[in-house]
Amino acid sequence: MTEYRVKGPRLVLRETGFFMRNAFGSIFSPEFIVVFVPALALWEILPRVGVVPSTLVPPLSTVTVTAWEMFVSDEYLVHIAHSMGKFFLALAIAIATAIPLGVLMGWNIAVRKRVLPFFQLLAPVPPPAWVPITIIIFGIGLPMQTFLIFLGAFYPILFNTYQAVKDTDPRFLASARIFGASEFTLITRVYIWDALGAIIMSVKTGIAVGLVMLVIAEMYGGRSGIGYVLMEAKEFFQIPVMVVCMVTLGIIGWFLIEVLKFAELKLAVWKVGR
Amino acid sequence: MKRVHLLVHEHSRASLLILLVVLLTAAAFLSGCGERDVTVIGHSGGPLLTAAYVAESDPEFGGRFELSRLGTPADVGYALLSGDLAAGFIDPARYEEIERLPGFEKLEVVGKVTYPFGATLVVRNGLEVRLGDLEGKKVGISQPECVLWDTFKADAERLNVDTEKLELQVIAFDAMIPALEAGIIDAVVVRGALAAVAVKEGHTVLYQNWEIEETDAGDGCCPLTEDQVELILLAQRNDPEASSGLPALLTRSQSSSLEVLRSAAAQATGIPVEILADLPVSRFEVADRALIEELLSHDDE
Repeated sequence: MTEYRVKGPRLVLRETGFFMRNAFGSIFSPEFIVVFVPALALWEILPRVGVVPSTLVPPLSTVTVTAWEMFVSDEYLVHIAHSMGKFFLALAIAIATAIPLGVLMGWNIAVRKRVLPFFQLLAPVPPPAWVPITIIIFGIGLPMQTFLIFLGAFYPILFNTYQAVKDTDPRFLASARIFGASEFTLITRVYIWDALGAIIMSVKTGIAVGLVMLVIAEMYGGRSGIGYVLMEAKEFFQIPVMVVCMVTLGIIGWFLIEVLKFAELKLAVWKVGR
Repeated sequence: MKRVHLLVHEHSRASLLILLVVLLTAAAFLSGCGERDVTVIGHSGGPLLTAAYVAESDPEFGGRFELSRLGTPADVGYALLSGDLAAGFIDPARYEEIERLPGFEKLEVVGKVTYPFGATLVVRNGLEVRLGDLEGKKVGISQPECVLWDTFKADAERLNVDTEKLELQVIAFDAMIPALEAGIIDAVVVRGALAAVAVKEGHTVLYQNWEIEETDAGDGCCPLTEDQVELILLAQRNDPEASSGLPALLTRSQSSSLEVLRSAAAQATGIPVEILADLPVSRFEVADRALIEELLSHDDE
């Protein structure tokens, strides 16, 4: 019992340790290592023996040396910081708008009927097609890039939240109504909590799509960010640099998803282990 | 229980059947890809490919060759290196990068596309300015380290324009027109041939770099301009169709009348033929690596 009375820095330390164990546990699990290590070995060997052209697929060792050089120079870290600034801003706006809207659409059929077709029409439009319009509305730079990333993250969060809230178990709602719960209480105490696992899952999808959009957004306007470095490297055949950027994006995505898994573990305890 | 077993059994059979159909479709698709004996030529679009557009209507072209549009010249370079394309057009900046890579030895230079106008400054519709009035204006360029910008800068500084006072915005080419339309930027520096796209939208060419020939040809009023290398045609060395058949066909297409060339470019790019009528036509010629390197070293001087 005393374990749960820990407060302050010790609590932060304990939770950080717990998070690290969970996050890196999946990377260092025997099940993953038996897949991951041979994959890395193949990455090194196949270009070296000429099975795949080393010009197009640089070996792991080359990429590692390039990564070291890039991380040692502060410039790349500044690019990462710029990208993360844009990304978190856009993701925060997407979460702050898509979740309430999704909950409203799932809860109220009148809202759903008025709003859902609009989003269903807009969602299939490929995000790069929005670029000219966003330039006209937001100009070149941060607002335009933020909007494009927001667009990538918004729809998966919106539709999954809406679906999860709509699919709330009617038995939970009936039980709450028997005890006199108001509609507001139903939303805050039943719908959202029952849908929480799906909402967190939707944010994970939003992160993945948002990272894709980050690269697209940084292609247009501006001279900073991982996407900008990646596209510059791609355009000028600096393939190891390109691969380092890809791996960086992969690691950022993985880390953020682990953070959300941790949040799910803490908030939706009943979903864990399913 | 028996009924449940039966259902599970049916589901497994259905899944296996779907898997089999997917695998067979994939196998048929992949085998179909391998059987293609058409020589595929990669490009990234634009009005410079006039000869190739004309060649498309040549009966000898169809069945033997196929134009395939990719996103950027770099994508054409990757496809050439991987052997997926038999030939492809890339710009000189990408050529200088790709020729240093292992695997380039499988490729050879077989042609060049030239155009008289190099770096071009286009100002947005309604902005009445001269070069000297550009200070403080926002100018879009597609790359931070850009040969076009360097050319413009050198020429502008010769005319006493302080280019340090221009506000540079790096912006992808396909975003330049909307940015000009919206007045977010005041001008863009682009390749001469691509300026036609902006002119089509009503914007104005304010400056254009011409390489003047230092010969006695021409006269004091209209000196001859030297064509600048805009695209380089690379082909797989071991593919005779791509390395000799294609340049011969493109050379023949190039000899078509200016009317035919402009009409083919207009049809392929969507730029009205009236706009192209006021502009020179790009020129395809057979070339080799030595010639290209000599021309590019001349451009760098």
